[in-house]
Amino acid sequence: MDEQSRIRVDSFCMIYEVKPDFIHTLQESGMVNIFHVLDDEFISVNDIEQLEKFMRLHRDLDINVGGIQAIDYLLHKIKDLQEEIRGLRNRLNIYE
Amino acid sequence: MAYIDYYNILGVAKQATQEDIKTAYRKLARRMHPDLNPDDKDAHRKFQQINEANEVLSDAEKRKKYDQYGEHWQHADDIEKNRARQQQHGTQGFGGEMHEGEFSEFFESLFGQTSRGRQRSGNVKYRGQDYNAELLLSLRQAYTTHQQTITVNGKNLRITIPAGVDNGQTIRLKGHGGPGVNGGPGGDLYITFGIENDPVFRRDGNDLYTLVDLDLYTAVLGGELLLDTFSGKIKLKVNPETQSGTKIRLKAKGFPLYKQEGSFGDLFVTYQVRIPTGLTEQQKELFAQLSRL
Repeated sequence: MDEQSRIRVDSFCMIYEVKPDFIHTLQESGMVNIFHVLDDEFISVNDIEQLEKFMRLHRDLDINVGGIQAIDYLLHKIKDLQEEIRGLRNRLNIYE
Repeated sequence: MAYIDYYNILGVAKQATQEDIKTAYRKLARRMHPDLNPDDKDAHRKFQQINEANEVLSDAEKRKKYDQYGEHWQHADDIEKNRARQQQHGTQGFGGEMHEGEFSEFFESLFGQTSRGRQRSGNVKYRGQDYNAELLLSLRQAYTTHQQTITVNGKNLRITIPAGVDNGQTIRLKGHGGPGVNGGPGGDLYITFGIENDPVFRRDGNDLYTLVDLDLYTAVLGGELLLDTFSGKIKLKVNPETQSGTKIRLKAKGFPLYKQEGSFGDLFVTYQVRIPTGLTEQQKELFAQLSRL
């Protein structure tokens, strides 16, 4: 992964004012992938949007990582169900 | 501009303690947080309202001013003075990042524009707000990849709409939402497509269905006919003795698959045999002869 596509975990934590422990706990829960280049820890810039959401949930609503994981799972499930409903509605419209 | 009852928004009494307010705010914020209610504009609006209410009621100084002027705030001569004084103070609170335009006019009249934003965040970079838009397309438009210019927040944006987009489908245009805070990246623009029904073709997934009228003679004797489709005219060979209701399948002549160039669904054609009307005497006689054979 090139330098443009990754950000150091400590830089990320400094910019976003978040404790590295939070990012590491997310990693332990499989919610973010931290990779190493030499001695440094990095995350992919593609993961930033998702991380921002996790941080908002943590900061705004005081939800711990376990809760965020459950919410994230349920939000994905809701999205899948909404997609299914959309497809079914479109099919139903054919017969109306 | 209307008076806003912040106590009512949070569902607490005027005598509520800071702990009551905090509890009420958390309870409501957990229900209405935008991350928990994606695509729910009503929840977003309510979240802004409860954030604003919390901004005022959780801050002793702001709450005092709000209580003091309350619904008579418009008649308070020294609001301007308060505003100037307020500018000396930052705000401290709990809640999501706030962007320009997320406080009501009422709030800004009472506390001034400089009260907006959270000092807690310092120079933290936040990505901008996500925008949602809806775009209505005809079935024919959805059939081909094409470009359209849309206006988002006063800016013209030329977007490419991939062929095969479905009714209700949402696409994301990264970075085309609201501007970031403190140099953060822009938010995203989500466009939800509505596809109008077509008078000739009915779409089911990637397949198209259509009814084709067949005159009696072609149905009986067979022949050829031309069918207009979204991709041009197609010559159909009609077998002799084709029954009304016969359905034929034209492979890969249906709707394009979204973002799978060169792949198409099928087109199903159902023949409807039309019985001739307004027959001449000679025609009637010939039919009569035919019936006696």
